[in-house]
Amino acid sequence: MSSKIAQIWPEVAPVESFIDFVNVGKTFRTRTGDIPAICDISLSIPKNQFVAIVGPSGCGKSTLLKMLAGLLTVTSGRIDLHTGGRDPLPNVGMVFQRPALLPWRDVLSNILLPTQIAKLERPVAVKRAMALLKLVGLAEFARKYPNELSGGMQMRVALCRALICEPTLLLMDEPFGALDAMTREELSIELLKIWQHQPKTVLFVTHSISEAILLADRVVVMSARPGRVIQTVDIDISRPRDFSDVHSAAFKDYSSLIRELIGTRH
Amino acid sequence: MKLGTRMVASVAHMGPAIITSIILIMIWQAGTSLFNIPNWLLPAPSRIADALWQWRLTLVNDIGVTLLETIIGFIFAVLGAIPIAAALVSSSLVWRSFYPILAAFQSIPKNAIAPILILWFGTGELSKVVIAFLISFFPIVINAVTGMQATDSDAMAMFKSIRANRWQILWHLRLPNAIPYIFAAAKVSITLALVGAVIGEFVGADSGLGYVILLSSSQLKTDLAFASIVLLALIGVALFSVVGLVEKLFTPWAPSLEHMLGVPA
Repeated sequence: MSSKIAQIWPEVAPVESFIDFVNVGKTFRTRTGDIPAICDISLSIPKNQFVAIVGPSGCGKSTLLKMLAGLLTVTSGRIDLHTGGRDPLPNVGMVFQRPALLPWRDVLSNILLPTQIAKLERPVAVKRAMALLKLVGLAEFARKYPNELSGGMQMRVALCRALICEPTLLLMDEPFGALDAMTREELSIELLKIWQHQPKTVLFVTHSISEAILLADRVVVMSARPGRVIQTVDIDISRPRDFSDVHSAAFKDYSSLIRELIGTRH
Repeated sequence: MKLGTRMVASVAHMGPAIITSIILIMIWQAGTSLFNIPNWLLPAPSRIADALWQWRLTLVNDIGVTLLETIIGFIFAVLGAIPIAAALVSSSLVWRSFYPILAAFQSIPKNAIAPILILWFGTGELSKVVIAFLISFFPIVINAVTGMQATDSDAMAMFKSIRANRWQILWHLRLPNAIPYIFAAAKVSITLALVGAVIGEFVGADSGLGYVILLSSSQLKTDLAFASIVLLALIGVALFSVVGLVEKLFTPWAPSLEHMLGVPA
């Protein structure tokens, strides 16, 4: 099964750009004056690429995601989305640092929420939700409430909720940041499996350099506030990847390169 | 967990309170006979029990009247408060137009307007329902508003990312988020509604426990007044418990009582 995915991968290799950030800037207006959060970011992301964004805290990584999701406006420049369809807004799935599940809904209903908002047919949605739950190993937890689950399980549910409408774009804002190291590794590998199963464009914000290298096709390294792109690093490690790759020489080279880039003051 | 075990657990939990009450009643009983306190000043618990039995037939009617006034006023308060809270949080124009007025109304002591309400709605049950409504309405509105606004910021961002509209956010996020807040207020409000009904009966009525207290104390039938007060206390506790039970039905996700008491399931 995994070798099959490896074969498919080069065929769906991205060529044309899906998202274009063109000189994007964001300034927050506060009582004490304007605070520039993001400065002059230009970035092209091809379809189905897994992009990780790393940088020091407060560098505007999350702001970038929120502008893409339409939760924040762009102050200068523009973001072009080549969705192909008439809808200028892409079908977005979003995962936050906290699971942000609704405590009054059980696991299944939490996952079904986006399908209710999108007015999808319920039987189809339930089928899809159960398939996703099976994929993350939580099929028997469908009727549990979030407070009966561990942090890692809650995050898996949040991931299922983000995937239920089969988004073309998955935005993840430090999704595993609040989890313990072991759960974090497990979930990274699960995310890779899911992504190779159903390819989609992913923007993944993280503090962890090794997480970024392990997951991404390309790592965008950002500077401290106001956030700029210092460099993008293409990660040439064959897929499917797993945790043994962390010990490879190539992985260590990427890691020290990115660490160096973040340390550079611009 | 079996029902029997649960009942044993809850009795065990209330045990100390029951014992304390019994001791206090015994001290009261002994004190009144020891110091020869006249019945019209402070009746002994046994005299109050006598009065309860002696007047049981008329008291049942008065309980019904007061209970009905309280419950109807309270139900209208809940039914009115939730849509008004929803309107307040959903539109900043509605908020700016009405919230200050609501806050001003809230600060009026309701017993101050009771005579006017009797004047408008008569000495029957309706005026008491209105007072019970007014006194229990505002805490629910205020808490419902708080609950609808105290939504998780990530959950709100998630709703916006899936392009939920204002009504969907209200229905799927704000309203369910407010349910625990509404119940917290409802527990206070149902007791306040009882206070409202009694105030109304003090000002002008021909039945109800408040009316009985007023009439019997003016005739120095203090034991009957005390009997009515005991009944009011019991009604208050019962109404509070009923709201608590309804809350458990409405919030199955909340940690259970057994969980909080530390009784193994």
